[in-house]
Amino acid sequence: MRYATKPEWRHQLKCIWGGLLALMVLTIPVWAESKKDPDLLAIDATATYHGTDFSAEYTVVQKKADQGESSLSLALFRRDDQDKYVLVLLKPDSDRGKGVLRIGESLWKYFPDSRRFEVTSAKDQLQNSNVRFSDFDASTLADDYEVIDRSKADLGQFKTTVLTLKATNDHVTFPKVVLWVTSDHLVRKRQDFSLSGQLLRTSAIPAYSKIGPRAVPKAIIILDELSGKTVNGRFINDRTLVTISKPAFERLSDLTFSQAYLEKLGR
Amino acid sequence: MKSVLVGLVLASFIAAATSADSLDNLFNQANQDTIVKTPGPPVENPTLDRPVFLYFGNLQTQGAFATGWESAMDQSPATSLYYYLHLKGGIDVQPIPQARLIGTFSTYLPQELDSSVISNLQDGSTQSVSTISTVPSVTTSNVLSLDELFLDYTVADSLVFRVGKFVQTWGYGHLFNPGNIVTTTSEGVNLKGFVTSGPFEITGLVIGDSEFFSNKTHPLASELGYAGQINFLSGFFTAGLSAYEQIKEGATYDASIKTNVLGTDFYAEGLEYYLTSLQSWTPGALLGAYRVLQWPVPGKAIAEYWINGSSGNSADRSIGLGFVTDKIASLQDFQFKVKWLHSLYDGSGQVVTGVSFTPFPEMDIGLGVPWTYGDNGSTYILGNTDPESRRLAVFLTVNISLSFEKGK
Repeated sequence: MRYATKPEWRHQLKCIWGGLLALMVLTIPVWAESKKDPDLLAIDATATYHGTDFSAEYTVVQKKADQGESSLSLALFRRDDQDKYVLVLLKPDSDRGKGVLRIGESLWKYFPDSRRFEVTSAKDQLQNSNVRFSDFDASTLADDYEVIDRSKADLGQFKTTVLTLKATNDHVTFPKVVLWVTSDHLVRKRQDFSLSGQLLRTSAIPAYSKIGPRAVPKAIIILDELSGKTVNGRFINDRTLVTISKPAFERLSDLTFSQAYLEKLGR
Repeated sequence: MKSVLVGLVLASFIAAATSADSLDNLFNQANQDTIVKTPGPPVENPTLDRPVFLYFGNLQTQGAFATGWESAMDQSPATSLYYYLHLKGGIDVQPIPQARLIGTFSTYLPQELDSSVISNLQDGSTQSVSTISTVPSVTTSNVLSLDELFLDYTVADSLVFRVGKFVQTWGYGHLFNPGNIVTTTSEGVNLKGFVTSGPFEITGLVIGDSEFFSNKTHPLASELGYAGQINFLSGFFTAGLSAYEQIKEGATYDASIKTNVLGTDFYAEGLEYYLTSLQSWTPGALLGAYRVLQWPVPGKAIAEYWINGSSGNSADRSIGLGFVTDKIASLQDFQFKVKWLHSLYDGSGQVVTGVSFTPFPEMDIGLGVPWTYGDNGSTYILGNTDPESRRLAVFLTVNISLSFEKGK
């Protein structure tokens, strides 16, 4: 038997450590993937559009009990492979061409009046509505939440599984979420809670457009559980109706997802 | 036809969905999902879905009453009444998808109005606090001034050129913005090119400011200003390098990084100035934090620390704090603002507090109280834009703005 000399021993130790490190790096994603909830992975798969780009027109109608109705429409261009999207306002005419670029947690807003960009975190709300910029993200439920409770319930005509989720990181907008999911892995109803357990929003998605393996909501109705007004003894929540039209899955140019694109649109 | 019916059914239910219980009623209908076999083309580029020729205008009139003291409060206050009319107009022409021409002009009445009056109305009342960003400078010496005139041209959907007279603003600062190293681009003819490559965005800028040229009819390439910027955009942080050089002015180099930690944006810029007049290098820096607040009222808070090396003296340091609320609907669209800028170098500074009220979308009423302090000749005393050099003043402003846009 030949013992390794000191330099050889050092070299072998380096190889062992290198091999262990490589093994750890290679197995971490597999281990992490295996920890993800299969139901959440299936939901994400239908609502996330990898391998292509997604574009659609969104109309947002805000109904506030004490202020009447206001509306806006916007174009969404999304590239889920790179975790980025661009929103461009189409209406009202006075705001036409204003837009934001979102990459991960960062949001670039362009202000045509001062010809400058501002970068901020992406938890802001859209134009004073109760729609948040995070609502336009690709679905990453499996990355951000774990299922802490699972049950069956009827939701009108739909047979659903009710999933109670708890956030696994503090990057998410809502620490606790409850989902009503049909067997085709589509979220039909969602409740968003604060850390203290206060119900903040309830959303309903009554119908989807199914395009191949992908699904796009036709409309989302969001009730703001905290704001509203009591009319004739009955509390009327502020609510937002989001309708989604012209969904498409064609590749868009790289330029679309850049600051220059927003600058070009502005006047 | 089916989709129209589905839409009508949805709309009627949605109109009635005023509570969580009624929201559940939406699901009493049979499954209304539809299968789309051939999805349509992408949403049209918003700049294409518009008339070829647009013209637009904005008429703004502002009146203000100001009173205050130049130095000691035992003197009689200096009282002034200001008013002006600002007409701004322009064209926006897009003859082909790749090209777009934009031109804007403006004029002020009365013509003899000093531009410092206008900037003071803006600073002294509320606008500078509300935007907490650069207020575009105004020129009242010309009857009609050309603010911007530029052509955008996109090549192969990947390379964008902008040529003409245009404003370019770089930098992250809200209260101080030393990263805006190309402020001179508001004058002269400039050429900008932009290209994106993965997470990198690269901008090149050639600045043809007429003030640079010794012979304005025969400018030399060596007299042009040259600037470039490379930004790395990622979800976790943004980093950038930018540089500007002009033979008479000198050079400025800027390295910046910005990230968000626990909901607060933090940004840092390191600058190096070479001033041709001093033949020396001076460092500068900006450190800042910006946070969107939900408590005690929804708003935005800013804190910045600035080492101003642009004058060749890196001992010139300032701090700034700003807070502006969002428009508070329950208070009939009131907005409160406060900004404090203070020079650590000479002890001068300025505090501006203000409140604005928007009774109608076209009208804004503002009440502002600017207080400028420091020794005579200090930074903020010299920079005080009040035409009466009031150190403490009260401004009441009424602003009416009407806009239109027409196209063919």
